[in-house]
Amino acid sequence: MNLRARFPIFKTHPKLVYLDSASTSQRVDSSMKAEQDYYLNSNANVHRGLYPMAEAATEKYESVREIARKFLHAGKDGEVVFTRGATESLNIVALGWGRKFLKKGDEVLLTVLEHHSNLVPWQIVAKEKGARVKFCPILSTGNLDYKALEKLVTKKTKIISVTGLSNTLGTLIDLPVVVRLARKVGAKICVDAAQLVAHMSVDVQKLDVDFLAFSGHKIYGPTGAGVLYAKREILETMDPWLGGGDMIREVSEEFSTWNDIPWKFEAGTPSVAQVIGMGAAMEFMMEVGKNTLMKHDREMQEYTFKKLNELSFVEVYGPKGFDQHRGSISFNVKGVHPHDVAAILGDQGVCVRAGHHCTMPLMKALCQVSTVRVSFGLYNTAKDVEALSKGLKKVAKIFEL
Amino acid sequence: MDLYGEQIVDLAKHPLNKGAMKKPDLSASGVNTTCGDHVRLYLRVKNGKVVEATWEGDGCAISTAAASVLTEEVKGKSMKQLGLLCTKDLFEWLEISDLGPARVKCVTLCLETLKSALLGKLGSSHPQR
Ligand SMILES: Cc1ncc(COP(=O)(O)O)c(C=O)c1O
Repeated sequence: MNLRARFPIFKTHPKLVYLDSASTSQRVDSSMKAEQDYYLNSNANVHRGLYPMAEAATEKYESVREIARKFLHAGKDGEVVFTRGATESLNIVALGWGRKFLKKGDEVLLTVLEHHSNLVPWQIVAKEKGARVKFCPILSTGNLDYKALEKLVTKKTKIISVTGLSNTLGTLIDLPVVVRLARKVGAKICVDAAQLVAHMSVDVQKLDVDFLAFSGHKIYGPTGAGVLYAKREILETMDPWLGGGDMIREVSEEFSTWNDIPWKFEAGTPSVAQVIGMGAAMEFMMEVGKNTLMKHDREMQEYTFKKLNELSFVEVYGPKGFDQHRGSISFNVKGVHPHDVAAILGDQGVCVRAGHHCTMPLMKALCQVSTVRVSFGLYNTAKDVEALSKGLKKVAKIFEL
Repeated sequence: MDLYGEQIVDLAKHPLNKGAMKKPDLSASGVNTTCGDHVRLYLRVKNGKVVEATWEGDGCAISTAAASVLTEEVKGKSMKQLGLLCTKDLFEWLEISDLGPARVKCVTLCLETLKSALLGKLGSSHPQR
């Protein structure tokens, strides 16, 4: 399968060297087509109209739940909530579950690797409820400090919310270990899988997690759509976090009653086209399969580490072994600010990200203000890595390193 | 690529007037929230004119070069002259012509910080405003 050929952007820009997929991926052809098909053939609102086109739209939209169930290996119906993205999914956990169940003195345990979207919602809720947010540190290798984690998990811990894969360092988290620790004290476990699902096949039943969040736009689908997976029995106990149409059963002037799960958490007209596009993207990921995914990731990162190692002026952060690392590589060019590196690479057509990558506590732990980050998608080839290496040599030349 | 000309690269590697100042007459901090660059600017003023200017901070080559030339150029200028400085002046001093929207802020951060240092002075001498 020629994977690159499935991404129309490279027909428009044949020379594009896109190494920023952790930020947002390029879109796969089938996802773009699915969105357009909906607009061309069955454009209507969902769950409302009684005419055939509205029924077709509803059916298409709802069929994505089954795709998501398969994609995540979930067991029961009603466990897939559609959202506008991972950020919204994580906010539902904090606002829908945390606000109802956290009490004064309770603890929410995160890690310093977290993206701000798995951090700020917890700070907001913790402040409201008088709960505390604690952070598990990392080792100098960039791996999570599991020994520290063990000590941080106590009877007060009510939920552990962790990234499955760091968007900045590419650190993989040993989720079974974290889940075991959570279960020991009866804490809930939430996984920010925004990066994880782009690189690994995820089985929520085997992992036995309570919540899992991701966005469609990082798995080659559209922006504006995401998923919150949550165990049925937990979703049923949660309060809605957003009020409006679709999430209600009955509304009177005095009170309202809620719709069944998962719709109880989907207020307002959803991102219908984007959810349908995300469905096609998940199908694409399953079609690619975990073996191809793994092989491609291994080739890309091994070659990138090799090429970066050849450059004495480059300092790479985070773990490097394939069993501990996937997807994103953070580094700096000694003596050159990351924004200058990214700008000079950009001038040469190499798209990378520079900044704190929405992980400011992690930057502090690394003692860096920011880093340059390259991240891979299924369309990347060895040529992209060579362009990166060439670009970095140019940076060195300009700054006379 | 013209952006990274000799002057900017040189100033980035060997910044001018970098360092804290004890008991400055005017000072202010600025942050570029999109990229995290930050700068603190210090001015010593005598008889209404700047006699010394320094800065501290962390930023890209463009913002480092901008802070360097700004602290050079303000010396000898009156408060009124400082108030009239604009982005165009910085472009001229840095010998660059145009910048994309994302990078203009790298140039203007130190200038905006200078303006808030001036406001700080006004604020303290005219508390009723
Ligand atoms: C690890 C991680 N979590 C959460 C998010 C937030 O995703 P989104 O912006 O799509 O809501 C991102 C995306 O940048 C991410 O990398």
